[in-house]
Amino acid sequence: MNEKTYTFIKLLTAILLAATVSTSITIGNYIVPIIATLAAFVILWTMKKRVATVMEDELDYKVAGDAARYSITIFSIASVILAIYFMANKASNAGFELLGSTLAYSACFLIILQSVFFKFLRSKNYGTSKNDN
Amino acid sequence: MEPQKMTTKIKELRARYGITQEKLAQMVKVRRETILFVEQGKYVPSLKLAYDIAKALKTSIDELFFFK
Repeated sequence: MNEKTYTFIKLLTAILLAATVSTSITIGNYIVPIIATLAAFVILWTMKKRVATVMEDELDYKVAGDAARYSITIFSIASVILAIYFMANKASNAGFELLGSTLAYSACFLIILQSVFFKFLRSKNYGTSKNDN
Repeated sequence: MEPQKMTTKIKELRARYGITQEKLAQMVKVRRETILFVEQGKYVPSLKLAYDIAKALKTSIDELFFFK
């Protein structure tokens, strides 16, 4: 299978999944979306393995790492600024305190999660990448 | 300390052996864009990729990559 076919299957799966999930939620069925999501994941995972051409390499992993780092930094800073704003103005709206706490705890959780993964991955032998034999 | 700029002889050796970027990418199992970025000195490859490229172009790493 070539990359073009895989991209087509990926698009088709995404469209079908979106349609299934939205329809199921509208009629109040919450089991079908879970099954459909898992099925889509399995289908795409299986198809990706059949693609003959290289779809991702070490440059993609590096870019993904950088993108994740920027995302975490921006999300954390934005969450903290918004959390401070909401906390400072909690007297003006009853919901602000909850909103501020949620944002602050989300930022903390994300930073802790990132630190844990960083420490765990750093302790492993990182001399070899996924592509190495 | 300023980062060193990387230059390569990949393009020159590719031309010598008549290998396209696509073909080289297939040989070293990366995407063509990665070869392009390495050639342009925009991406410093891992030791493994540098070794694979050097091997594919029948040369050694120190004759293929230069830092100044």
